[in-house]
Amino acid sequence: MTDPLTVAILAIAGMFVLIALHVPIGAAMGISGFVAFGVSSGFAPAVSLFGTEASSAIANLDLAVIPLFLLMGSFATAAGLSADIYRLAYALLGHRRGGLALSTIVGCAGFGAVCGSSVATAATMTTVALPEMRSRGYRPTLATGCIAAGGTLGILIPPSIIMVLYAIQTEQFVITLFIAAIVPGLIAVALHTIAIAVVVRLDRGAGPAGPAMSWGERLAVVRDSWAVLLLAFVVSGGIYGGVFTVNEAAAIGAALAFLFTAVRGRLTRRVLVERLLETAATTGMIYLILIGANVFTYFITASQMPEAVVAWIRGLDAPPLLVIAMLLVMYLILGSVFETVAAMLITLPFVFPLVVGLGYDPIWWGVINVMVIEIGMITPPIGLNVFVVHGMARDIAMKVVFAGILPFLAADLVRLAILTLFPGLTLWLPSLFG
Amino acid sequence: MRALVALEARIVRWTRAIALFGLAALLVVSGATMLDVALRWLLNRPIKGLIDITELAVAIVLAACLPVVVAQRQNITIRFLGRGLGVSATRWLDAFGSAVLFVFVTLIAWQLAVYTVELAQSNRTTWLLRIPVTPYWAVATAICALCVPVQAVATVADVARAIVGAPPAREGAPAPVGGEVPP
Repeated sequence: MTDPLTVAILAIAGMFVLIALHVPIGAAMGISGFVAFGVSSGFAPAVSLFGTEASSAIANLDLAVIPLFLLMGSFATAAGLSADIYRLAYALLGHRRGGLALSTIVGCAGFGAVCGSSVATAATMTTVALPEMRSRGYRPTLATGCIAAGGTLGILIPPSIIMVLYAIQTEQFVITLFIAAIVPGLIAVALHTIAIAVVVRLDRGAGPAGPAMSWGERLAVVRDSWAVLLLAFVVSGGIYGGVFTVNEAAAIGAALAFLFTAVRGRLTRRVLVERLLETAATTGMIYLILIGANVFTYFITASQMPEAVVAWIRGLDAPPLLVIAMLLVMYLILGSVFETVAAMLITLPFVFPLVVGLGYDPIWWGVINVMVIEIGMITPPIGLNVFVVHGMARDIAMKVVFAGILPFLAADLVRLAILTLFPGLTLWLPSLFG
Repeated sequence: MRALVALEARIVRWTRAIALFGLAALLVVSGATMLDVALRWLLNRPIKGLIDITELAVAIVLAACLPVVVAQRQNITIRFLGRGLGVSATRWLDAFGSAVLFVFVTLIAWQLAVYTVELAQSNRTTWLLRIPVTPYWAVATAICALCVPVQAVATVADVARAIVGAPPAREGAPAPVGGEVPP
């Protein structure tokens, strides 16, 4: 009974049972890890895990980028920077058929560079882009579909909170992960663009062209977008250029976004309180999961279960790619049910050693892992982003939003297949940076 | 039951005040970091020991974010089973989830207190400015420990709701008293 492998399997099953019984995910992970470690190694060392794991999470300065990036995204929204980037994309692309949908995708990718949260990106762009597309006669399917799908770019385009978590939990260099996500991010934008082109070709009334702007008007829009361009340049340029650390970039980003909100006269007492409380609640939520996940991870590592699973899979002589394909299917299902942070932290303890044990690059898997969970966010029947868009546009039926995301979902699955089959596409840019 | 719900509402207000204090401190740290980077690049004179102060402040900031999540019930919870089993089962499942969360936060608070005592015994200081770490960790631990009474009240309230058949608590605020949950 106290065979570590058996206990590990029971612990994983117990964790999912607790989650099903309405236990918050962090507590489910922490308690099942604690009980399992207690059974296999004694309850005195097991209980001490809560001290070591909680204190190391709270004292970890690398993890402090999470509230800082959240704060940056929150004040960037309050400052109206999402509207700026959307206007900029619209000025350049809005005159084409499907141009507003394309502007939304580009706007989501751009806002992802100053936000880092998928749900926040989808919610913000629903407010900014949906009224514009509806007023221009866009079909609700295309209008809502591109927002829900584009929102997922928020966690793929660096800086991404989920990538920070992955890097810290797997002891990878976060900047390498950010760099590795650039090409997949660009491929995502390109494939979403193709999806829009196909939709407007098949249904010519889906996305009517808007009026073209003169180059003078476009330059004026670029000039008015200085704040968001500066913020993205300082944060991304600072990180990639080696000017400052990720922590410093996050802190400067938060301070700048706060200053922009103040300078633009949007910093009322209510806005300040709302934004700070929103950041506090999300931060606390992530940390409680993180502490539970760390306890659970400690037990799983100690049980040597990942090594046993790798040995078992090797014994089966199954092609590694088949194992990866099965993991991707598992993540698509998980991603459609669980929130991104939870989906990653629940599975990382046993999936990461398995993937690395099969000989795959941890940076490549980091990008694939984030991407597949993010695709789960628009996968029926749940799809968190679909709920967000529907929640903010109640008059558009959920099935309309789901119908709208189908072309983008197809594009995402194509991207996933390409990047899985050709890891070099992800690893090429990091290799240039050494 | 009404008194319990009123107490929950009051706890939400208190924990929000703590979270606001913490996040305001984080904003100050962000501003100081921006200044530090600017001074380093323009005058080659960074703020001495800012990393030490940041390290101490961040522990308190992060601790300040925990009670508000517990009080506002913003933990990520999957509620499919309750939806399938009906309102009465949802109430009991919520009460069970609350009880397990109570055990979880109690274990964290207890072991953080043990860790703080160990820090005090070793007289640990920060690396550069030699600031004693213990007082700051004591504050962070005390704030984390607030999760215990907060979740205790939430658990008692959830059990009471299950017994009297009051609507389950909703995310973000304590539930109202009386009546049935709308279908």
